[in-house]
Amino acid sequence: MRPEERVQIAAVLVFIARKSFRLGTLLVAVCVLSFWLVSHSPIDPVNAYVGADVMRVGPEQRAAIAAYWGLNDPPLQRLVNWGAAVLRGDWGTSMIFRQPVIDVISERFTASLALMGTAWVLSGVFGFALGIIAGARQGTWIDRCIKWYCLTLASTPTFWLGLLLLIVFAVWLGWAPVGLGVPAGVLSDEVTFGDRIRHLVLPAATLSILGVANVALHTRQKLVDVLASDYVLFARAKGESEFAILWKHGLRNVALPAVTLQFASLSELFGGSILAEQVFAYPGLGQATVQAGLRGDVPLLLGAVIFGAVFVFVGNLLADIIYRFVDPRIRWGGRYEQC
Amino acid sequence: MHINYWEHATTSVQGRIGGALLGAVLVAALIGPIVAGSADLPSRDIFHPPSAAHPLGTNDFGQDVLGLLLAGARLSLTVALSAGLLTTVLSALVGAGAVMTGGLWDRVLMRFTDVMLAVPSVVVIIVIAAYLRLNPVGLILLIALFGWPGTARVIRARTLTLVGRTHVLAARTFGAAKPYLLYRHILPDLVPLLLVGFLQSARRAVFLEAGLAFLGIGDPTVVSWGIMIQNALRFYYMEAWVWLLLPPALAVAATILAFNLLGNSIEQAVDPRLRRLHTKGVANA
Repeated sequence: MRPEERVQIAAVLVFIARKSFRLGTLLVAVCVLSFWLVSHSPIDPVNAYVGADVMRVGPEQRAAIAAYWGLNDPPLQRLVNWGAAVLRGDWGTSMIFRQPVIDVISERFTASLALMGTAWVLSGVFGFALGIIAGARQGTWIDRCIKWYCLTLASTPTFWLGLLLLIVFAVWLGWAPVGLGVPAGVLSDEVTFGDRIRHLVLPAATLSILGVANVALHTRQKLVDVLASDYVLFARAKGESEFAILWKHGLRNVALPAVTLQFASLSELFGGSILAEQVFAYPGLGQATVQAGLRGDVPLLLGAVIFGAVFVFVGNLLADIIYRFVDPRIRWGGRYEQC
Repeated sequence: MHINYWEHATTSVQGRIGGALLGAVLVAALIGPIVAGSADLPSRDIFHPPSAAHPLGTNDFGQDVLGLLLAGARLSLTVALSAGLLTTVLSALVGAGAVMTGGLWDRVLMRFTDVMLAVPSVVVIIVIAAYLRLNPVGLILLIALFGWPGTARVIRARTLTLVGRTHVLAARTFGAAKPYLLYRHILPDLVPLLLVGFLQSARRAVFLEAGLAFLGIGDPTVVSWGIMIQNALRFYYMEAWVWLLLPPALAVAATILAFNLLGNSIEQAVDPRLRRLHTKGVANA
């Protein structure tokens, strides 16, 4: 093995170690914070556990329930107990869905992933394309149109664009179903792939239309910078065609920041999907999280929060890794630039 | 670098439109409740189409939509301005503070900022707000608590370059103390950046307030545009949705657009090459 290779491998290992450490601290922090939040919540855990039978449970039974679930233990003891259970894979049972939390999350997350993945790819591709067009035609009417379109879109709240699409396409035109992830009254085995797609279209369109703005504006600005650079001036002087300049110098330099931005926007997309899922009654993880919060379903809420934290972390990590593959100037073991 | 960003903001198209929109919402919030009186009281006159008595019609409780809209403007702007201010103060304290204290404190503060940046803030705010059932004051604190890291980084970077400038070095040679340097030489150059940060945070706060209320997580006792939109969604099959949905929806969009345009115009004035502050959470989620 050559010395350079050894250095390279060591650097990758350092990178992995640093990232794992980060994930570990993030998870501990998220767990402690959520736990603290839950223990200070106005929702009484015994009431939440008893649910609808609250009138039929006497004080002795309440005390017994509290003792059984260890609610009288000191908070630290409870935190450790809960953490140990989670590590064993026992995330508890969701009270509103009457299912193990793990099952609820995996089912809901699959639906959310389809929604977010579609929106993510579409907004990335269209945003990049719009940014390139605007940047290449800087100052013309098409540039101005795209710029204003993006500025206005960036000002549109997710839920209200969703409502608009819902009213126009589902209620007026009747092209798309009003909400829900699958047709009502159909057994889950009989739901076809086409049905799922039909129910995905509007929420995905909402998120994509909004997601375009950021990437497009960013790409446009980068491309304008590149086209004003000396090396592009030199290429022009050599007589290269505008298309060749755009292809060779423009796209390459603009693609990397766009990809990074798109990955970094995952957490925003996650937030947006919560709102979009609510508008369209789409059965995703975001909708389940809001329900869990509103109705005091502690196990599901904690599970969803931890899961969300990991999801966003993985998104940022992927961006970091792709960054290093696309741009060799960024070193594996390197410390973060101090701004 | 004392650019007259104020002049640019007031003469550019974006700045003018943004200023006019924000001014309109501000006036509506200030004088609205006086003009409309106690229009949010329920009446028997439900689902009344727009008329002379009710310019924007009435909703399912017989409340005057215009009255609700004006009351909603008050809440939206209160949350936007106070959360924006608080966020900006926090980010300035962390960003400029990190540079001025330097050394270990700088590193600790920036690590902390990095950690906060990795938090999916919209999701966390939704979860916390759903759990704690916050009133508007709590909401303002929550938005500020998760809104500062992006701006703090930008402010730190800017402060770092300012500290190295010759005029600051000169002042230090003359024996100027750190508070004086900060106040006399650094803060004035940070003002446009702080202003942009303020406008972006305010815009985010408008979005979050309306979004949370729409999800049913807001304070149900306070009139909010988000609650109006949520309410309108229940009547999408009736004629009434037009005057129930459009006014609050357009109001939210106009307010956010106003902050957006103002922020952009100032940014362009400060940096003609316009590096947008592409920090996490600044954009609409």
